[in-house]
Amino acid sequence: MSDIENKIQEEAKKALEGGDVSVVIGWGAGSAPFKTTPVFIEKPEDADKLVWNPACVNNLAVYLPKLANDKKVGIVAKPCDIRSMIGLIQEKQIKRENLYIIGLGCAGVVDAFNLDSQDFHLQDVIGLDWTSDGLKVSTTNGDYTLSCSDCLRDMCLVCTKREPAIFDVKLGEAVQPSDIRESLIPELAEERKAYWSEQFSKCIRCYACRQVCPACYCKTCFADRVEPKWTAKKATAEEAWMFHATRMMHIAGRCIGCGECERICPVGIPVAELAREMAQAVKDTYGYEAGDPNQESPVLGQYKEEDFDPAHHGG
Amino acid sequence: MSEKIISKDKIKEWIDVLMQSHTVVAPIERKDAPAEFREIKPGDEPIIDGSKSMMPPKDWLLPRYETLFKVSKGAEGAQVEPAVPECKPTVMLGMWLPDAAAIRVLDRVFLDDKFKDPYYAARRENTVLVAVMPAEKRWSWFCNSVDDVETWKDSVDVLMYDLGDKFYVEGISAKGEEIIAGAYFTESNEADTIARNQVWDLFAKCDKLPFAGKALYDNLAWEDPIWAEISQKCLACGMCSYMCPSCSCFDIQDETNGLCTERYRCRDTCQFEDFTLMGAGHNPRNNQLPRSRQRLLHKFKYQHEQFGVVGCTGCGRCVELCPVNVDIRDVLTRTCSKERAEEPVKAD
Repeated sequence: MSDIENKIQEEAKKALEGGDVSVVIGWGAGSAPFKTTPVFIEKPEDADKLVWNPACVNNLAVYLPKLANDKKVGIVAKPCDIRSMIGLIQEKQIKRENLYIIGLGCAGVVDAFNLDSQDFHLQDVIGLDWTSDGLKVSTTNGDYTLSCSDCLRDMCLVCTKREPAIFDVKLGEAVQPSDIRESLIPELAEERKAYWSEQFSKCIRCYACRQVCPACYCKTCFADRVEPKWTAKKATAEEAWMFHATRMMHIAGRCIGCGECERICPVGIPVAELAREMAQAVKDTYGYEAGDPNQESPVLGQYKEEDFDPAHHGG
Repeated sequence: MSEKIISKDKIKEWIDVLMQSHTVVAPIERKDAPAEFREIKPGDEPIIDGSKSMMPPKDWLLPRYETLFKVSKGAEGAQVEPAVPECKPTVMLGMWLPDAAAIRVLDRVFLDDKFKDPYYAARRENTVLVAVMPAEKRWSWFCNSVDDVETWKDSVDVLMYDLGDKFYVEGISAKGEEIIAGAYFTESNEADTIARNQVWDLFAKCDKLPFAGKALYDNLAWEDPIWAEISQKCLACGMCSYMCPSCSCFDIQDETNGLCTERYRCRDTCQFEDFTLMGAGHNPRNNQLPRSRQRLLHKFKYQHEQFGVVGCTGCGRCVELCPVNVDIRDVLTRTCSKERAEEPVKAD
C-alpha cells in the first residue's frame, strides 16, 4: 500500500503548496506499528509524515466542525469518514467548499484489541498490510496472515460502502467484505433488555463514545447540563441507559456507522450496534440513509406529506 | 520474609479458606470487557495471574459511584443517614505490582495526615494487598522507566510470581505472612527461585526509555510546544484518567427525590471542560491546552512536590486505550530530551 501512501503525501503536498488549503488532517505513524495518530500538516515539507495502513482507524471528520469553519482544510479520508462529512455539510456545520477531500478506497481497518488475542505478541509486531488473503502481520518472529473476520474492526465487517461518496482526489481501490457479520443483539425483547442491562452496567461514563463521534458536536451535551438535569453522573446501569439511549435518539438518522464509539469503548459496550439498528429503523420508515450525498438535508429536516408517523399510525 | 510455592490447582482451596475470615476481592471476568475487581462470590472464576487486562483496582477502593450520606425529611425533622462503609478484613488478589504501587498514590491522597477520607480509609485500612507478576509482558509497559520498581515491593503484603502451573509466593508484611500459612503452600527450591527471577526480570529489566532516571518533575515545563500538539488531537474524553489506577479526582453531586437527598461521589477528570468551571461561569482552564498540560504536570510534578511520589506507575492502560494514540511515553521522552535534562540515565 506504500504507493497509495506516497500518492497521499504528494496530493497533500500539492494542496498545501497551492496555498488555499491551510492544513491537511491525516493519519501519522503511531507509537506502535499497529497504531496511528491524527496529524495536522501545515507545511508542504511535512506531508511525508502522512501514512496509510490498516491501522488508520480514526474518523478524522470529528475535527472538522472546529477547524473547517472559516478556512479550507484538506483531509485524508476513508469512505465512512466522508459520509460523516456529508452529514456535517447537510447539517450546515461545515461548508463543502471549505474541504479538500483526499478520498480513499477502503478494505477495512484493524482494531488493535482484535490483534491482542492472536498467535503473536503485540510487542513483536513490526508492520501491518492488506493482502488478497486478508491482513498480513509482520513480526520479528515471522509473518502471519489473519482473515478479515479475525482482525477487522467490527463495523468494517458489516460495511459495504467502501468507495468514497464525494472527493476531490480519489486514491486506492475498495475491497468489498467477503462475509457480512450478523447482528450480535438478541431479538426477543426480554433478552434484549437483559443484554443491554448487562452492557450498560459496565459503562464508566468517560464519554469517550460521545467525544470521538463526528455527529456529537453539540456545544453543551444534554448529559453535561446541570439544569435541567437529564441524567445523573453516577455510574449505574440505569443512568448509563439514560445516557446511551438519549444519545442514540440524537444520532438517529445521522449516524453513518463508522463504529468509532464502539472501537474506543474501554469496557467493550457495543454501542455501534444500537446505532446500526436505529439507522435501519430510519431506513425502513423513511427510506433515508445518513451520509448519502444525494440528500440535501437531514431526515429530520425534511417533511413529506406521506411521511409515516408512528403517533398517528398507532406505532 | 517467607518464600513458598502454591500450585495453581490449590488456589481455589486457598481462596475458600480466606473467604471464611475475609472479604476476598479479585478481577472477575465480564462479557466483552476487562475483568473488574469485585468481591468473589461462590461460582466466580477470579483471574489472579495478571494475564488479562483488568479495570484498575481503584474501582474497589474508590468506587466509581458511592453514596456519602442521605438526608430525608420526616415528621421528626431531618434525618441524616451516614454511609461510611463497615468493612470486614479484605484480601485483594490478582492486581499486578504497578497497580499496587498506584494504590500508594491513592493512599497519599486519601489517608493524608491532615485529612483522612473515612470512606476510603474504611476499605483500605482493613485490606491486605496480594500482587502478582504475570508470566508475559505487554507492549505498553514502562514501569521501570518511571521509578525504581524494586521499591514497589514494599507497597504490598504478598507478592506472587506466575511460574506456569504454580505461583512463587513471597510474604512481605506480617499481615501477608498470616494469609499464606496453609498446608497448600510448600517450600520453594532453587529452580523455582531461578524461574521467579526470570519473571521479575521480564518486568524490571524492560528497555528503559530516554526519560528513565531523569527528574521528570524538573523537566516538565509549563511552556512547551508539546501541549499545543497534544491538545490539538486530544478529544477530551476522560478515558486516560478514568482507567488510570493512580488518578483520583472525583466530583460530588446531590440528587433529590421527593424529601430525600442523596449526596454521592463519582469520577471526574481534568480533561472535562466543566472540571474547573466556576459557579459564576469563569473557567480558568478554558480550552484543551491547559487541560492536557494539567494531567501530565499533576502526575509528574505537583504530586511529587506534594507527596514525594509520581502519579504514574507505567501500567500502560492510557497508552493502549487513548483513542488518538497520545502516548504518554512519547510525551515524556520529548519533554525530557531538552537541554534542561542534565542528569545521566541510570545504568541498569
